Amino acid sequence: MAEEPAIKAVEEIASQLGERYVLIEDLDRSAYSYDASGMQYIPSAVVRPVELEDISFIIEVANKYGVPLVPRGSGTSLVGGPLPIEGSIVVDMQMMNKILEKDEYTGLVRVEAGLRLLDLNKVLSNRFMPINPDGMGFSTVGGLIAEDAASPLSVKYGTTAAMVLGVEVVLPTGETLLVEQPGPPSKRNILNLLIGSEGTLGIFTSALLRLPLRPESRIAYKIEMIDISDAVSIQTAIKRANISIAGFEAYHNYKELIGEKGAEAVSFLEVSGTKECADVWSSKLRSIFKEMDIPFEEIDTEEADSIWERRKSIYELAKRRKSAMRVISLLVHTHLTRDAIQEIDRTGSRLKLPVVTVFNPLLGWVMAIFLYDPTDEKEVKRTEKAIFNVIDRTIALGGSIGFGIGAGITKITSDMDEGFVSIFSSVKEALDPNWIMNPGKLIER
Amino acid sequence: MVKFSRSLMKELSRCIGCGACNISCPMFHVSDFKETEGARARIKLISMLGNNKIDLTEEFLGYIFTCINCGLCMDLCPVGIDVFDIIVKSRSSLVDIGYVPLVTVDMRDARRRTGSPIGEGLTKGVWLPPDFQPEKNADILFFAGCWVHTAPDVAINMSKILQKIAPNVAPAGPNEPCCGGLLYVIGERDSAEESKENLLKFIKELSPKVVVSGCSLCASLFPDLEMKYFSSFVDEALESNKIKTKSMKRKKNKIFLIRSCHSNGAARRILERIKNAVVIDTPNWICCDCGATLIYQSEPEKFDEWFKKISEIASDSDADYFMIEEPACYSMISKVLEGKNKYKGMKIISFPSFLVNHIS
Ligand SMILES: Cc1cc2nc3c(=O)[nH]c(=O)nc-3n(C[C@H](O)[C@H](O)[C@H](O)COP(=O)(O)OP(=O)(O)OC[C@H]3O[C@@H](n4cnc5c(N)ncnc54)[C@H](O)[C@@H]3O)c2cc1C
Ligand code: SF4
Ligand code: SF4
Repeated sequence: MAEEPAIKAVEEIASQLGERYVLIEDLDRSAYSYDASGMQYIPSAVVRPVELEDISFIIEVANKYGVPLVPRGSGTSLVGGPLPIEGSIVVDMQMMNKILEKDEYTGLVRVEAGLRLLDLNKVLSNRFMPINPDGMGFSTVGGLIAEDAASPLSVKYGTTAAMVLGVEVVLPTGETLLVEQPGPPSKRNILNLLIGSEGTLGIFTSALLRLPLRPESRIAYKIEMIDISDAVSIQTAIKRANISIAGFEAYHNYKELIGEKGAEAVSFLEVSGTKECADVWSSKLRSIFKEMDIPFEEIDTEEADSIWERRKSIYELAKRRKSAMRVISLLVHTHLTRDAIQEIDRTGSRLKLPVVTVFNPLLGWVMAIFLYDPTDEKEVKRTEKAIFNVIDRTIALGGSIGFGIGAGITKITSDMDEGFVSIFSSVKEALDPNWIMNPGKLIER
Repeated sequence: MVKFSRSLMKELSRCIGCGACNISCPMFHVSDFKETEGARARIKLISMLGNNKIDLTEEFLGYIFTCINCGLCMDLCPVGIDVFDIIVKSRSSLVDIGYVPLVTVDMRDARRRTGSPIGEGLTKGVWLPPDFQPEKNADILFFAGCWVHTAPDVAINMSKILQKIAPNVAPAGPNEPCCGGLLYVIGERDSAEESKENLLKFIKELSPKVVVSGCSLCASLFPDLEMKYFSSFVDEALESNKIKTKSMKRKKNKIFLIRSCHSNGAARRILERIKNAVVIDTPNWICCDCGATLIYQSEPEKFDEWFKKISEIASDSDADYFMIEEPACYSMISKVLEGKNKYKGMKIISFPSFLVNHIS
């Protein structure tokens, strides 16, 4: 079991929240030791708040005993975000899942942070777009905001930040704040400091969101790129033709791995808007494909949804090869997308690891997914090495890590982003002098 | 130290930890999303056990062996892991090594003494004449399934409905062997196989045209028994116009259906054919089958919690009927309600007992 201060902290929390909401048994602690990253750290205890006051109290006690806390949503993080690496107490937010306010007319909803996306998507009618970066709707609103999650549709709709108008947050000092845009977005936007802070600056208890409207018309294409350089050319052609793309996602190495030869990447593109706009953009897109000699086919939006929302093809691949996956997410300047992909390819072949790269050339978002046999220790080590290799190469390209899915345990270092690390560290020091809030994530102390 | 087979370990390690299997897991929802209770934790913890990262205590053993056993966890897994199958496989590996949890001891012993895991409390075929003998070469052999015998009214009504479909329906009667389904889910592979073989022999001797099972678990777990589950069979009979539905007198009767986890949605389709019956949309994790019996017996408070939670959802949705498809589940709920057929303003009824009045 845990160390002395943690035991005292847990006892005190249990006396306030009730035994039922504090888990200390080995079984429970082990069940909160993982997320979707494949890593594992056992917490000293798990607490399950049901209201704001519980959280304020938990933070007060954590400060008193110097015991670190880790906020946790559904534990779908791919980077160890909700893992208690310093024997912390996990704060499971899933019981705080109420819908506080909703307005079908404006698309505004105020919900508690533990609400899952599949339930959020039912709050308003289907005039609104479902929010679904993880593809299953299992992650929570709090996790989404903490990671500033992104999806293929972020080309049109932006990352999570674009729909967050405000949050209620309990700071590591115990103070509760409502951080909301005072009317239309102004230059004074402190909200964006909290969005994407990966649970290191406080615990979100609720959020005010504006859900985007569903477009009248959506047209989606599946295209095959013979050469990965086509991605760069397409991106330039799209910009030149002034086409407003809604979503883009490409899978590199996918065909090769399933044993089919030919295209270097399979990708999916979507335009949406009023029927007139979508039609015009769609016909412009077709001309580009034809001009570039790129094979394409129109797919129905349901199919596009199932691919974009479920990343099915990648999972299918893992299933076929019976391998586990390790993911690293990068953001590079859009014109360097191809270079980043080539670096990943090189790493994969040098370390003899199959790798699929999911990329979005319009955002410069590149996710490397290494497939490995988790029962083979040497392969596990090589995968670890591959991740660090890719990070090094990305820094050399002037890129950064953690877009959408977060940096988590891997952390952002000064050589990746000196300005961010310096300012963010000062803010962290000021708001969380005891470093009790999710230590060991995002930045080094 | 527990050592699972290489193939089981590899399958376990393919889990990417995404949590999709929790979305349809009843245990996860009933426990207010407590991670430990969900399907993902079961896979992860069994994997930790196989990797020697966690000790095998009696509590842990009991945990691995007790869930609702609904099998819904495999519905959404993006990497195609058959989660329930893995859970069952690890249970049988543990049994093979010699680890048998206390929670299943009663069922194992009962089976040894009486041939059925339910034990002495069960007398089969009480609704039949004392000298009953099953008929050979019938159109339908009605295999009730162990738990259906604990709810004779349901068995009688199932039998009546089947008689509307074919003239010659033969109940399997008091000597009906147990299919072994429950033994299978608690990892008793050999006993389950033996039970199934017994049943197969029994069916062969009677050589019916078709066997209809009152229990969905038996029909779905053992496809080689070639049984049709009651609801699916009735659904097909309606589809081919052998029988028809009768409308309900009162307008708009809202039905909250607790479906069988192992069925293919047949009960819902049947109800939707009945005029004036409105079937309420329920979350996908709401289901019940006889796999829940273990939790009912070993941790009654968990079963009560499950019932409390779903009956709350039902009454919040203004249901007139709280309808239970699976006879085992109906039987357990009846005991929790001490035989009352009204609860929170809803009529508690089994699906076959409702259907018997709405089929012609
Ligand atoms: C199969 C799969 C596909 C995915 N695809 C994508 C994708 O395309 N794009 C993408 O962006 N992400 C993706 N993800 C990652 C993941 O789903 C998201 O990061 C998600 O937003 C995490 O939500 P969660 O509720 O599970 O949070 P958790 O994993 O529990 O936590 C994530 C982080 O948020 C913090 N946190 C959680 N709740 C709170 C709170 N209330 N207050 C403060 N901090 C909190 C935690 O401390 C942690 O640092 C994918 C994951 C999987 C498994
Ligand atoms: S069988 Fe049912 S109760 Fe058991 S883990 Fe799977 S979904 Fe959950
Ligand atoms: S759905 Fe499949 S991959 Fe996801 S946690 Fe469950 S078993 Fe693992």
